[in-house]
Amino acid sequence: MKQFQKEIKSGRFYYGLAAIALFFIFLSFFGIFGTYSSLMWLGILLIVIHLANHLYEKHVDNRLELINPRQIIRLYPEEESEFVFRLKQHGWLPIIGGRLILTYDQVIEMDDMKKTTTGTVFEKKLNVLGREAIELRIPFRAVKRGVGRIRSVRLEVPYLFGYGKISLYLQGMYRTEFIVYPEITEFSLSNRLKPKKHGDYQSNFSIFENPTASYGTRSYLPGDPMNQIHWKATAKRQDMQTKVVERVSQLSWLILVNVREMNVPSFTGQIETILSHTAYLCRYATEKNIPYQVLINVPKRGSVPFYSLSSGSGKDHYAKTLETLARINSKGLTTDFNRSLQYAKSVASEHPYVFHLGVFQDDFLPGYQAIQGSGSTVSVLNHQFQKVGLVPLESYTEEVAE
Amino acid sequence: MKRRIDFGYRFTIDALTLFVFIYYLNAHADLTPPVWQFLIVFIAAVFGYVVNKGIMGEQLTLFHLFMQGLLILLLGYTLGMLMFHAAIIAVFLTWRFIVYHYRPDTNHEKGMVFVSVLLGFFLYLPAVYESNPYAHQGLYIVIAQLIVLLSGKMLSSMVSVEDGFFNQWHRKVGHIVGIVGAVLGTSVALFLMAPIFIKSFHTAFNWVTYQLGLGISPIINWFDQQIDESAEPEPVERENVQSEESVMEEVNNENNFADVVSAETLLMIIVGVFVVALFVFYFIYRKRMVRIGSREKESQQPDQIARQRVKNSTFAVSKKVKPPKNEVRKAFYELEYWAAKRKIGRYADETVNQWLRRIELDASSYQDVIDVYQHVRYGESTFSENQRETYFAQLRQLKQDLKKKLT
Repeated sequence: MKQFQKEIKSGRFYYGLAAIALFFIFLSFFGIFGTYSSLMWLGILLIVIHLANHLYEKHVDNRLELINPRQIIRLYPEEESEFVFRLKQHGWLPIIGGRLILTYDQVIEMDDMKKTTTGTVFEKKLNVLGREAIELRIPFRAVKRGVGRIRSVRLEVPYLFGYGKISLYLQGMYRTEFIVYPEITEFSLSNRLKPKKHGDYQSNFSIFENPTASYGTRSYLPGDPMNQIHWKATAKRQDMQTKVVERVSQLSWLILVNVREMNVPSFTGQIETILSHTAYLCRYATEKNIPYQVLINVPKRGSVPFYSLSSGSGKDHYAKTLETLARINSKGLTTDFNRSLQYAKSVASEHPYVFHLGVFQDDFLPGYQAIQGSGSTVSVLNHQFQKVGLVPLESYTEEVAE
Repeated sequence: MKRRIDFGYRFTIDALTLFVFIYYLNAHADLTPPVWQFLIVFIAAVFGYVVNKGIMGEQLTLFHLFMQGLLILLLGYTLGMLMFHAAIIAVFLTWRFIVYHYRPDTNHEKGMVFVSVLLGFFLYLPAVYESNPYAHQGLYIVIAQLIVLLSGKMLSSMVSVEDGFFNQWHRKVGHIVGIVGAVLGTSVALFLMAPIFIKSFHTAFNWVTYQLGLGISPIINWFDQQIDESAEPEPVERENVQSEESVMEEVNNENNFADVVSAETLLMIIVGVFVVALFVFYFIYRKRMVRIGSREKESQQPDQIARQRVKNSTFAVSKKVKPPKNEVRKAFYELEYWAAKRKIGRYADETVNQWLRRIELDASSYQDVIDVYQHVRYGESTFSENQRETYFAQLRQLKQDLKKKLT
């Protein structure tokens, strides 16, 4: 199947000359000008030029291939990168002085771009000779959070001998996707985030132990439980030895993000700031190896009807989180935050710490109080006097009341 | 570099147009056409201009170009050209230098080639009629001009790309030479085979006319018989019939069809048919262009022609549909109603994206309008102030672009 849809704008110049040429050839058929008249040659040459143009117009794109692999380029705002545009001409017909025109989403900016009434456009001239492949390295810069694509690819091929052009439109989508992560905006994190409950988080100071994770022995002290005695080491040393085990606790986070405006179902104007803070929180958790789960009240298909990143830790989980945050379209739909809260209540028991980011409304209070009742600590990201930080729920509600 | 190449090949084309004229002027005056003299004058003129421009730069004025013209005139006359011819060359070349100096993007190549072809033909005819030995060579100049045009166009397109012409220059030059060579070679090959085609054509044409003549000859004979019966006694008629029969037998026995219709008669018939065909095609073409023009002016019509494209479709918005109360939906409804009245509205079975694509507008540049409209239409009925402003701004832009489509 041909990759390109063709549109031809041919000039009339060679048609006109071909018509005159036919007349010359007819005249030359009668031997009036001799057997080998130059008028005949001129007529034949004009016809051959016209036919060559016509053949070029018909067949230039027959074996032209745009190498269109699926690729995702991920970057942060203001970061620069480049992507490679590959075009291969398997046939012999060259493209001389062609023009590549890309229309793309405004999450990125390319050099040599133009803003037109129909979108942001990148243009570049190129030559593709017969049996040749070219690679165009197109540098670009990420501008704002979001997911961008190349919306249309058009190749304008001028006729070999001028006076007309062939526009080739790529059928289907160009498969390169640009994912621009949200900017990371730091804020002050409370130092009161101490491990709670029994869990898997390793901690130097915890009242909880993981009996299966033994990493050494020590001399027996009165009061050590009998099931902690290391009998083999004791037999060896002829002295009572107790196992030394890792201290663990539960330190996982549940991050609830409300993207809605107060009392209004559209996205808040502060969406970018909220997502930046969310990204920072997730980065912090990843650095400290704290597992976290994120719930965002943006509708999504699936068993959970909104964005829900299941609990996880590590760099892969962080990358997945950033991609999710990047894909949130601030011109799309939102869901009622209370639904997220309802779901959060069912999973809050697994997370000793719950954070709320975004607009906080009074009707969220009962939900959060129920979460607190199950043993989790709820903190709200507060913006006050240009200072941003997490405050406990009670302090937040008092400040708001004041 | 592109500018220099453009100047080079366009100026050469201009000079060759002039040379066609000068060549035949000399040929008709029974003088030897000044080929090498013209070549020297041409090279000297270009060299002089380049040096002049290199030295003077932006300070090169009309006065310098006029002085250069005088030098061209003197050079031409010194090389043996007639004063009149040298003057024509000097004036023409100076005029072209002035045009290219003050308007470097001048592009008269189409006109020049067209004039060359017609000039060459109309000057060639009398030269051939007079059996002038230089008649045929004159058209070689036009052929050379076409070669310059093809090569120049390709070279100019090639250097317009910023990757640098010298990057793989041998491949690029190879392509230009190869393509032009192939075109020239094909035309030469066909030209050398021309006598075979001409002979085949003559044979076929004469055979056809002979068969036609043979076919209607009994009718002609019968008419002749009627005339002869009324005018002369039978023996005379019999003789005539016999002589006609022997003539017919002679013709039948001959295998040479070439004598049936002479070359001049053939020429007249073919030229006549060609002229008639030209007129017929011209009127058909004009009618077609007028019809296309009026259709474009009236834009898309929901009449039978347009309806055939979208089966059984009506506009999404019509008088029967009441406008919605919501601000966003109402604004969009008004736009659709405005577009429907002008026959470029959205059909009921189309999405907004499909509609914009059908009228050849880039849907991605109105993505905000589409998103907010769909958000309000199918989701929640409110939105932020930011979104509202973007939405109405893009809607206004969309209306402007639709108006442009109508003009």
